[in-house]
Amino acid sequence: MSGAHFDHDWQLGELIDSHELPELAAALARLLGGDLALADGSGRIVWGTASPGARRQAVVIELDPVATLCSASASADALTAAGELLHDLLRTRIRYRMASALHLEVVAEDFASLKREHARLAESEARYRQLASELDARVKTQLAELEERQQMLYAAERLASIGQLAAGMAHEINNPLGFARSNLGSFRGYLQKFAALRDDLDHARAAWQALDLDFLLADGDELLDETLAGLERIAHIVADLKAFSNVDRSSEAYADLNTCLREAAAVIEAQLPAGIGLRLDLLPLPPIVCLPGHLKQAFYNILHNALQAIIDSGRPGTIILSSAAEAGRLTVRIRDNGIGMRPEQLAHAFEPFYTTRDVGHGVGLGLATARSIVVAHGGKIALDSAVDAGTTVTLSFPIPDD
Amino acid sequence: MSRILIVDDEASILKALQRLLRVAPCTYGNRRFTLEVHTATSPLHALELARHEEFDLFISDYRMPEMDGIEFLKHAKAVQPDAARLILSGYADLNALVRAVNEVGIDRFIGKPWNDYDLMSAIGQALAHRELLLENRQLADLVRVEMGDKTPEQVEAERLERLEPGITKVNWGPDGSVLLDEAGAD
Repeated sequence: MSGAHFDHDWQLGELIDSHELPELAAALARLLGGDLALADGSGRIVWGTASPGARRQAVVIELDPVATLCSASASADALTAAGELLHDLLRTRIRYRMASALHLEVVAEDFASLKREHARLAESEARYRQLASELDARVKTQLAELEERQQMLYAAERLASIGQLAAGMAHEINNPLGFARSNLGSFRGYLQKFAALRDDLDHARAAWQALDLDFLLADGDELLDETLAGLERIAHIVADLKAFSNVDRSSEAYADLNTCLREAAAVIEAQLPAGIGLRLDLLPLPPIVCLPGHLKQAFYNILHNALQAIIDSGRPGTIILSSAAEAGRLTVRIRDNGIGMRPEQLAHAFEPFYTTRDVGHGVGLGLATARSIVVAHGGKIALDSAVDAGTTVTLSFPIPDD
Repeated sequence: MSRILIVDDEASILKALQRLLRVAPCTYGNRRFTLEVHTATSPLHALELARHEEFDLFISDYRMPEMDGIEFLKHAKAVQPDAARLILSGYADLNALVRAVNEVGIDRFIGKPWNDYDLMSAIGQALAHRELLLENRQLADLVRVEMGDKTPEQVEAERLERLEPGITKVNWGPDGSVLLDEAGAD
């Protein structure tokens, strides 16, 4: 790029080449018909020799003197005319030079700005590329974090439902355990009475009466029956629990949903207070590949909610569990005629940690867990509820075509 | 003879407790109690019994249909405030325990499955404690009458009030008639 601007003060040397100058000056000298010297804007003689006392005629363009004509012989008029001639010539030259310089400058400026633009674009592209890779990494770490939290949530929910289960089971097991143990203690006492009879065999009849052994014999029989029934009950509860407890085994199996439903129902049935019934209307279903333990957990959670809803309503009620294969899907319905849900409760029902229970009576993960299990099976879960009329939970699973 | 009323919705539990209380000795220190055991599988039925007969001790399960053990004992306390109260339960959360202590003032909470010896000594202790309280009150009344702090009439009124809560509080009508509380009449 030239250092000069297109509108700088032009010098004579720039306007007239050194080889042009003698021709031009000679032509002017001939016109003036005498001596002539040509000086540039600063007064330095560039052609000819200025005689002392020569007339001077300055050529001024845009207020700046560009050249000076010096002649002793030429008349003032002629010199002025020559000066005007040179002025016009120089001005034409200046215009031409200005135009070309401007053009060059503009081109150069365009190129420079293009280069600047390019540099800027390259820089911003690099920045975006970096941002994109950072974003990717950040999304990945946040996803991992979210997943981890969800895992923790489900672990917490599983623990919570195990806690609920344990509380219910404790009551169920401790009752028969209580009377069975106490009965056996009493039975030991009965045996001691019979031992006392052995010590007094000589007066067996009287001793038999005194020890009230008729009663002990009859009651002992009853005692053993009741104790055995109690132990049978405990065995039942433990079997139910065992069927249920493969929750933690997350292996896929070819299973009948009805079996899962029955096992989950058996666990809830053991916790039913008086006045609350459970009815199963199960139609035959084709077996599907699923995680039976997880599905049982989902069914249990929903059944537990149904039970709570009936308890909360303060009325006797029934939980109806139905299943059917219809329109290429397996449908499971769990219906209760309990307290029901208000629309705003319904809207939040699947949200983790949303609970209608008091603090300490449910963490609000039951339905959230159930839904995630159902969705993991490609299924759908829907709630339909009316206050004081009850709630119906509908689960549907696709039947894979084979 | 100490009269005990046991409430549990599980008939087998009642049978087992009856067997136990029939033969096992119930003692506290050198005091020996002979027990007369009554049972009910329904808290409502038990309350009905409590309205008509006097008991020294109520033992209740916690989880029952109709009403829970705390509700039952609360009602029983209203009818017979001097009787001792125990809860015998397979499971109760902290809330239930707090309610049992704060609202009903139970003497003991015994878990199921119970230990026969522990249960018998808890019953013995509860009965002995109750006896001590009653004796203490009787002696204090005697002293108060002797010192002139109370009249024999006041002491008798208090005794009647304990026997039949509300009996000494007369509900006067605006015209000077005596209003009988319907709830107390059932």
